[in-house]
Amino acid sequence: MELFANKKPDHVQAILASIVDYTDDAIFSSSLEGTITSWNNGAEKLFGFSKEEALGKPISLILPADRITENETLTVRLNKGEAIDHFETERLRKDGKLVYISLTVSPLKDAQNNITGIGQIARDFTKHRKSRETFKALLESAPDAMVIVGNDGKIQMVNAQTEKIFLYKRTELIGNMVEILIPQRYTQNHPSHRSSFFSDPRVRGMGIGLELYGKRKDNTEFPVEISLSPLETETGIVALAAIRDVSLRKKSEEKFKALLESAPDAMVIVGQDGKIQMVNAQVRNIFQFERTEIEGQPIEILIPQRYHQAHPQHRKSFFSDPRVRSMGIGLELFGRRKDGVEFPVEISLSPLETEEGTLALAAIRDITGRKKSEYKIQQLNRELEEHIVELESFSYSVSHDLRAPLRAIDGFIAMFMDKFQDDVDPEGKRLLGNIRRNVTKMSNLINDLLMLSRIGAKDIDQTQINMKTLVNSVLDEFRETHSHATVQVGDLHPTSGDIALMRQVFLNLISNAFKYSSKKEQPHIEIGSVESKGEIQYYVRDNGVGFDMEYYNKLFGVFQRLHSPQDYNGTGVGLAIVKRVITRHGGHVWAEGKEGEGATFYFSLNTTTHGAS
Amino acid sequence: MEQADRVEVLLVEDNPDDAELTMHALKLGDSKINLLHLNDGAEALNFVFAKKSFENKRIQNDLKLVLLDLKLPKIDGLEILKRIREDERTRTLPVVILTSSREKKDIAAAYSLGVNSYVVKPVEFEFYMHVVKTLTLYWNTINEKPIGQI
Repeated sequence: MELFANKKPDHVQAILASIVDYTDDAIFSSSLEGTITSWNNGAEKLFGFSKEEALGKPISLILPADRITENETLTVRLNKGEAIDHFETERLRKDGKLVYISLTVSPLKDAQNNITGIGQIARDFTKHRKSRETFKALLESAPDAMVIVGNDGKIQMVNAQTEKIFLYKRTELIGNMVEILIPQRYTQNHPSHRSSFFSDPRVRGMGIGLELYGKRKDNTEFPVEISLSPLETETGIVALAAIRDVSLRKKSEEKFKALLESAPDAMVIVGQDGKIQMVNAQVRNIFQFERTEIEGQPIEILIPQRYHQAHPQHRKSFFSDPRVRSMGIGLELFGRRKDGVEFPVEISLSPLETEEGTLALAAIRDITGRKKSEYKIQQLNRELEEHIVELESFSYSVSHDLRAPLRAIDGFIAMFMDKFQDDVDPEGKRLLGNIRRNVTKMSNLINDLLMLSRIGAKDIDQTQINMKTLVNSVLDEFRETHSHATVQVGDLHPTSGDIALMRQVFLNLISNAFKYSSKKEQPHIEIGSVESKGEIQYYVRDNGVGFDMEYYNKLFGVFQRLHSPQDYNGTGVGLAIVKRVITRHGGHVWAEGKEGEGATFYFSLNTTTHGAS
Repeated sequence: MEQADRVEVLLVEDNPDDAELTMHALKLGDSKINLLHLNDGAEALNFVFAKKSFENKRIQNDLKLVLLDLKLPKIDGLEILKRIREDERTRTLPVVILTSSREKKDIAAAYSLGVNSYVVKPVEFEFYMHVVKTLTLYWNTINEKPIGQI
């Protein structure tokens, strides 16, 4: 080959020729005029032209149109004796496609050191370029700011996210010291951190356990998280820093902490290892422990000794099925204060999903106060029950012991009048009759009072009541004694309630209506019901003597009467019974009246609780 | 206490006024009635079971009815009823509670112990007379005495 002509012993030349021919790189040369003078196997393979097709052809054979100037510039520089380092470019293949190559160009000189031609070594760089582009694309698309820093501390490459979060243009960063991205107060120590990374380059988080901050172009700071990886490149090891802006996360962490702090319950976050990771301020109020005394401690520190053994198993079962739940439903739970005192608690558990896995958030409420008032309520209830029992035995005595003397009075007067009827004059008989009438009245009073006291203590038996049937059966009792009155029964909504008590209500109201209208020429009574505002209002109306609304507040009182017993007899308990029965059914009573014109008595029952149509 | 050769009706009543009224009523109904009034519970049981002062007297053999008050000294009416029903000899003896109490628990207790009837004494005299007369007429005349009692 003329390349080595007459310069070296033949066998050396042959070896060199063979190496040149069999290397993978394309090695070829051209004359100063641009004619191809040599073409090895590698060139045949890379460009697709055989030796025969290439030799003697102009070098422009493999030059794309836009690279002709590049080649001329190279030739000029070579002629000036400049050395040209390898660079990346494109050349044309026989099939018309471009091939990306790394190219080394060197002058060929003769014995007199004159430049006689140009030698070129080309290597296929298509794959290399592709992987480099992939890397760049990866870097670009990374969600974190990616900064590549050389061991001299200079920024070599940044991605789009870096521009976005640090507010610098790419061109303003590349070539600058990386400290440009770090707050002033850390810049002094940073070079030594950097050199310690390069002396032991491995993947690591930066400043673990420390709060790290980045600095933007406008000098504002923001919290960051940084992980470092070494990158081996042709120019040596560089550091790839992935920087994440954690402002938002910090904010939500702070929000969570604030929320935790403001909770009215003691909040304790426990890891799967059973250690307390975080508590809020309430823990101090309830358990007396300072935050620093219990964070990192096993949760058992807050639990009475006797539960220590079983607790880890409970914890395990929570973590095996983590969901919001109350702890120990139906059980009495106790917490243990720093001073060892136990107190009743209520605990609800929620799982917290975090980067470190599932944690348990326990909301602990001191229910000492509630337990105390529960106990107090129970005690009061017991006392109340005792009072009711006392009241019952009082009623019993009234019922039994007050009636007996009355019966004796009445009985002996009757026997006396029977035995001595010839010896007693009419005035004597009238007086004795007065005594007996009062005995009957007293007896009725006792009966009414007993009924009134029992309504308060009696349980209400809820049954469906057909009010129309009920009213008609009550009216039947008055048929004979009040046959001259006209009675009009309108629509009566059915209801539910205690049928015996409800019957008593209508009995009292209807008997009043008959009684107070009995002196009218044509007594008229009207009974009905209307539905209004979710309740049913029943009424009993008469055209009797009525009453003065001025004394309305006395109407439903015990022993209160608005009419004299000479005119209308009665115990003064009837309406009080009505009121108590209706109140026990959750309803209310009222009345309207006008003296001499009549009265209407109303009572209401709830439609929702009594299911009327 | 009225003694007689044979006793058809036993009245157990501690209130002398009530006792007098009841006996008056009983006699109005049947002037020849064989009646015994006792005013305490222990005496009443002695009579029914022929013990102590009533030992070896055969007067209780014709007993047709016991009228029993609830509130009694020493042994109350419900206890007497219980003992009468527990004893094989008096298990079927007609017993009527005659009391002032209309308490539900008393009524329930009396019936669960096997009382034949529970009557509340009316206050009004004529009504009282009527009730007592009706009772004795029913148990002494209308109703057939159970077979096999002492």
